[in-house]
Amino acid sequence: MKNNLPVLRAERRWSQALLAEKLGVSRQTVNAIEKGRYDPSLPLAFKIAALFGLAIEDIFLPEEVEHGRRDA
Amino acid sequence: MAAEMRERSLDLTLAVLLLIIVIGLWRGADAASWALAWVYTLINTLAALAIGYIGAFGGGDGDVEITLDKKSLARRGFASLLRPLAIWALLTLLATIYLVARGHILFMLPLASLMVFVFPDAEDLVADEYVRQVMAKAAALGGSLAFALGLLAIVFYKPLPLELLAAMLAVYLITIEWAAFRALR
Repeated sequence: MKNNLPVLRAERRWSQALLAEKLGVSRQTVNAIEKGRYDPSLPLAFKIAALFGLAIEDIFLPEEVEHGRRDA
Repeated sequence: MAAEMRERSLDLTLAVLLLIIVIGLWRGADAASWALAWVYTLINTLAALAIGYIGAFGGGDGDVEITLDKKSLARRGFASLLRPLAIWALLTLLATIYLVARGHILFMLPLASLMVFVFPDAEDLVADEYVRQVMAKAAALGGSLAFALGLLAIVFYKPLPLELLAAMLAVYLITIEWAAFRALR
């Protein structure tokens, strides 16, 4: 699953470690989510969305949506 | 959402320490060492079942929270070495060294698997959802390696049943610990 987490984080000048601390997870979790190696649990996705004041679908994009946008 | 989350708290360490102290005072170092080996095997069997449960039903997606001695998570530095889990691990380390010295060489594997619990942030390994998922995935490989070691040990070494089970569980856990450390690099 693709996501805008690196962009949102950069806008706020937050490090991965700081974001991890705010979310109560390890820095490696944030890194794995940003790199697309790990899809967060729904509770964590809600937490991320609440932290950035956005909806989950504004942050996370399914692969097919990503492909669809590329094809369009 | 929160109501659907299930939490299993495995806070057995203080009870274990008390039990071992009683056995040590009552029956001596030999009995206390074997008791610690039994406790090691029992706790790791429960841990293996919990990891299997996460892998089969939770998949590391946050439905299951496993917490080991949650109170100690906040402790850092030298004080963290005094947490019950670290004391239990140190005592079991001593017991396995004792059993290895008595000729039960397969206890070298439990000895290796216990090293991780002496580190200050050991509990963080199971508190993080990404690491939990990595551990659940590594469990399949750990199980296969444990069976392979068990077969080799039966053929070439003829171990005691407890020694064999402890060694197989240790290989299983070492594989999972290795995967968790790799994820945390």
